[in-house]
Amino acid sequence: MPDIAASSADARSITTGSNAALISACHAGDPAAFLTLVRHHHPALRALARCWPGSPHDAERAVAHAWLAVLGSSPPAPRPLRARAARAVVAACVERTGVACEPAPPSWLDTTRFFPTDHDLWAREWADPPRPWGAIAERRLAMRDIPRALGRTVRELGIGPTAALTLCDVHGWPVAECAFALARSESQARALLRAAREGVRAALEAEIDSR
Amino acid sequence: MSELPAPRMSCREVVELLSDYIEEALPGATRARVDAHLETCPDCTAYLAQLRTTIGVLGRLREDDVPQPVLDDLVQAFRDWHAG
Repeated sequence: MPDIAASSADARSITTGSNAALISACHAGDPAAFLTLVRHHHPALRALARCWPGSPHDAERAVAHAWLAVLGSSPPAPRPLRARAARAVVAACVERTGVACEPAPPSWLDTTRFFPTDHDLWAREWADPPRPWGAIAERRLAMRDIPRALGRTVRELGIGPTAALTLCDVHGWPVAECAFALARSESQARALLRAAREGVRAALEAEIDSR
Repeated sequence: MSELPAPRMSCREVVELLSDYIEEALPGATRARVDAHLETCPDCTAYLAQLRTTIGVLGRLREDDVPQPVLDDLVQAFRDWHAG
């Protein structure tokens, strides 16, 4: 396979958000431009595809399909390329697995940690408040085994929450792009994110409190 | 006559809003009520700190490498696509 290097102009244009110059170069058949896009956006798209059941190969195929689909289409709306590619990834994964991106669970908070609504004095206040994690816990969270265990927790959240968390918190995408990728409203994407973050926080809390 | 101040939010109401609070997605008046609650509630402040830490830890799960064989396959697919 050829040695294809991205130019510094390509590297600059990737940060502008439009990627217009790179897309034009791709349409002209420039593999370096394509590789620049891939290197920048592929990790998030691959992580998104891995939210669905299947092998790593299945995930890579879904992303490859999405890249070519998005390059071959004219943008219907001024959406960033990566969001359109992510939406194509989701469509490919749903088609392959038959598993849709489900909405946020209606109940995501452990309400037993709060006094009940009809409590005379402390209705809906903390009954079992979180303990501050402190410096020792923060150091423990920085250790290598915690992120590995966390990866398992994230995968068990369900496809919708896992996908929202993967795009927004792991890869730093704005909620608007995540919502477009998942074909959900922004408010639905925020609901997925709320549920997912609480699921992971609770898992970390259990881990820290057990030590 | 001046408007009555909004009632104090409960801890559970605040906790349900903290993810959106971090995203700066709350309307101004709601955010002000959350801020007012946090000023006097160490438990919700601890929860907020845990949520922020959680998001920070999640950022470390990011895998940025794309293996060379994958890149090679993608470039080949790109060439095939462009050749029509």
